[in-house]
Amino acid sequence: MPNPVFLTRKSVLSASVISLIALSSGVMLSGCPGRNAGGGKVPGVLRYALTAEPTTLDPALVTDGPTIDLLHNIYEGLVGWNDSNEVVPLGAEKWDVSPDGKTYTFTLRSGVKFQNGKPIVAGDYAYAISRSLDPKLASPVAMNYLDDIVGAKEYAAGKATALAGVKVIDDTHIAITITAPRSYFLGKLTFPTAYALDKTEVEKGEKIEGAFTITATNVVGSGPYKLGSYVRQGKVTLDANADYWAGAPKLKKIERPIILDAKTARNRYDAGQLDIVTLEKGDYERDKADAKVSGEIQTFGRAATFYLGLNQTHYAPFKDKRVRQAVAHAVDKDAIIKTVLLGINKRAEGVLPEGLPGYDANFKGLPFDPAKASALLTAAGYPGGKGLPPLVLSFREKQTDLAKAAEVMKEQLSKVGIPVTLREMEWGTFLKATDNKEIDLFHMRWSADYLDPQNFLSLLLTSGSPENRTGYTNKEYDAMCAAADSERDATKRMALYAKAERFVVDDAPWVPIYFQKDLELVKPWVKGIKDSLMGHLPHKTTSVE
Amino acid sequence: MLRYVLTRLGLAVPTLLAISFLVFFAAYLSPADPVDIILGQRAAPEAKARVRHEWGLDRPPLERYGKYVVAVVTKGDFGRSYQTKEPVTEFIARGFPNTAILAVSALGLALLTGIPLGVVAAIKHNSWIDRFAMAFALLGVATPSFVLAPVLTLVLAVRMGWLPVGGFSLQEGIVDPATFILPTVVLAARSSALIARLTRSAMLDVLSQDFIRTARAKGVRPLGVLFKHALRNALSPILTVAGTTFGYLLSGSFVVETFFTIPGIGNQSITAITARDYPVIQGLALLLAGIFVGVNLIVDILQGFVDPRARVSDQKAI
Repeated sequence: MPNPVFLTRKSVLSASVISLIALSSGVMLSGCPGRNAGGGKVPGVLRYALTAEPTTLDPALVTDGPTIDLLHNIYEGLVGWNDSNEVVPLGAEKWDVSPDGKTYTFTLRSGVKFQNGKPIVAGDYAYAISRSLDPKLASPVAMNYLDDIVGAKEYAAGKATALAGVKVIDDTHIAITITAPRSYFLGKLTFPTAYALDKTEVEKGEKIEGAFTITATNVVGSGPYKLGSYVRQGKVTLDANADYWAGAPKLKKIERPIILDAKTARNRYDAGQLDIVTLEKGDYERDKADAKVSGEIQTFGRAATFYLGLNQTHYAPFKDKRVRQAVAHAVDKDAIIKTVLLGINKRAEGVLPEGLPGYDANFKGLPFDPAKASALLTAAGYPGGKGLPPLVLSFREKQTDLAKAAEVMKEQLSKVGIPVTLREMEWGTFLKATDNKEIDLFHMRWSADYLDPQNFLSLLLTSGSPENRTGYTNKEYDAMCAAADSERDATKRMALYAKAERFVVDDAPWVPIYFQKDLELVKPWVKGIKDSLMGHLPHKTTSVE
Repeated sequence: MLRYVLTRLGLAVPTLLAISFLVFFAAYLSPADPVDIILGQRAAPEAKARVRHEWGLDRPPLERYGKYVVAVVTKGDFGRSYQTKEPVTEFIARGFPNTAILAVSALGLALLTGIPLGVVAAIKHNSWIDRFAMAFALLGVATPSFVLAPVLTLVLAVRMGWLPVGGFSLQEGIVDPATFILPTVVLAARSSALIARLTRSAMLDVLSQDFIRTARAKGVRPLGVLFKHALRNALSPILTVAGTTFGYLLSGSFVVETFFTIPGIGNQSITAITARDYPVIQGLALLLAGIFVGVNLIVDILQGFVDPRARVSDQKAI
């Protein structure tokens, strides 16, 4: 009988030869310039990927960055960000603040229309804000942004039938009253939960669990683009809104193919089928060295800080300031930035990201000083780390930068005698555990909801704040933040936050490590992108020529 | 024969039930709270309690499982997505046609390339052609799709520009034949190699049988011996493997669909897993399990028709 076995030495050898030939051909060809990449610029059309399926088309429900980046081209609120990171009027022409700092009266801009041609009146903003807080809609984010409004808590809990703090004065004036003077309130109003909505259009949607839903069939906003089409798992297209109050945008169309795989998006960019793509860190050095691509690399600062959180309610030694400071002095941020982040990111001296109001470029935090870290540990009764209970450093899984930085920090901490074990956690579980303050030490990122120091210093570190994951409690610090939060004079306010930041960095419940920077490749024919620390602004001035 | 078919059908039902049980309780035991996924962690306790009740998440797990099974069986209702609130059946209706087309085209390519390659290798047994063909097959088996897809794309689409980077999409009306080539080739590569190996082995086995020698002695022409006598007899195991391969192709195209942005159920599964959208994950897992069980069932039944020994051995086993 013939031998059916085919795994002979010769066949394995042949396979190896074929593999080598195939691989080397691939590598050689990949180094060759493309003959016809099957793409190229399409004048008037901007093409860039959505990295995930849009989670919703309803501005009251949106929480994730990619979807917000889509929706803010379609919808618009009373106010928004500009490229100087300031709040500017959009649907509103101007606003007046009452002497007590609690009531904002907005005068609507004339000529602003919904994309169905209907002029926007004050009642449309009131409706949208109330709808976001409607308990039947159960928005996961509305209270984060609208909770300062008088009566918001009662209305959201179903204990009131109307939102007391929002009053329509007439068609062109709306007054919003908040519970206490809050200079950052306008920043909160930039979020999609306050985007204008046409009630008639919303009520064309399916009613689920008592609330009307917004889907692709009833998306009507007042932004620079209309929803053209949405094919699930396919593509979203936006068409220019010729009736936009500031004039039609320069682009005719925006195409957002939904591409989950970063490598696929990059291939499409290389083939000229996308105009913008996220630059993966793994490709950075190669692209930087490639003369053809290096000019397309663009770096964008973001309002986000990566930090170490020291949870003193779960790890008793962190109640001692000296142990917390020892951790801060033991971490060599520059080494992390150099080895893990390829020198792209900027070292964080303080809590506030570069560019945020209140950021002080001259401020220096606790420096890398392992000798001082050891001395502090000895002074705290843990010479060489002896007597310290086991410490676990947790971070979100599948995040390469976090994992690599955690590895480096583990080494750095062990050098001063703080033995650390690492734990990668599934995102939901990690978030819940940090929320419940069940984690000793964690490495994560805080990305701003709005561009104000309050969103970092008060929200993350004052006693009892729901976002305080470290259990840090300091009455002196709380008082500084409270004073800053309600101060109406901008200069005085920033001075108060600066004082609070210095205090809390020295007290070290947080060790700020670095600030986020986004890397993108942008084709040379794309001009006029405007960016803020929150991300790309709506593409009103972007052009493809 | 009827008894054989009924026995096979009878075994498929508990298999599917067991899978549905495993899938349901895997989701139930996952640490994430579905209400947190629907509303976010910061939602008010009243809202969380209301949603928990409305979605029936406050009921005991066995009761929920029972209701789930009844809804699936009686109404074909797999529940609604936590994220989009859409019925899971709509996800399936949208994604399955893309996946099915990809699987059918990959199976077709695998058969069209694998069988001739195996036949040639068997005829030219121990020659350089045989070794080259089998080395090629070994390469096909050993190269995972997550390697083959980027290499082929980089060379043929990005650098040479001969083929599009992305795949087809029925929803978007992207049905240019060129958009089928790379995904089909990548998905078919492994199956084609397996079929080539199996064909060669089966052909060598058949070609050594006495009846082939007799046919040759009777003066039957070489091509007649090859196709009428040898290949026909070797086809039975090949078709059995082709059946199960089809099940694998339907359920195993996650990488290919994601890489080529084909909106099929593999792509949907990745999105649902990332978003922890358990009803969608459950529905798709159950669908894939059902497809696999169904394909195996059909193969078993066909096998019973083709080869009566299968029916007999099955009865003995029971």
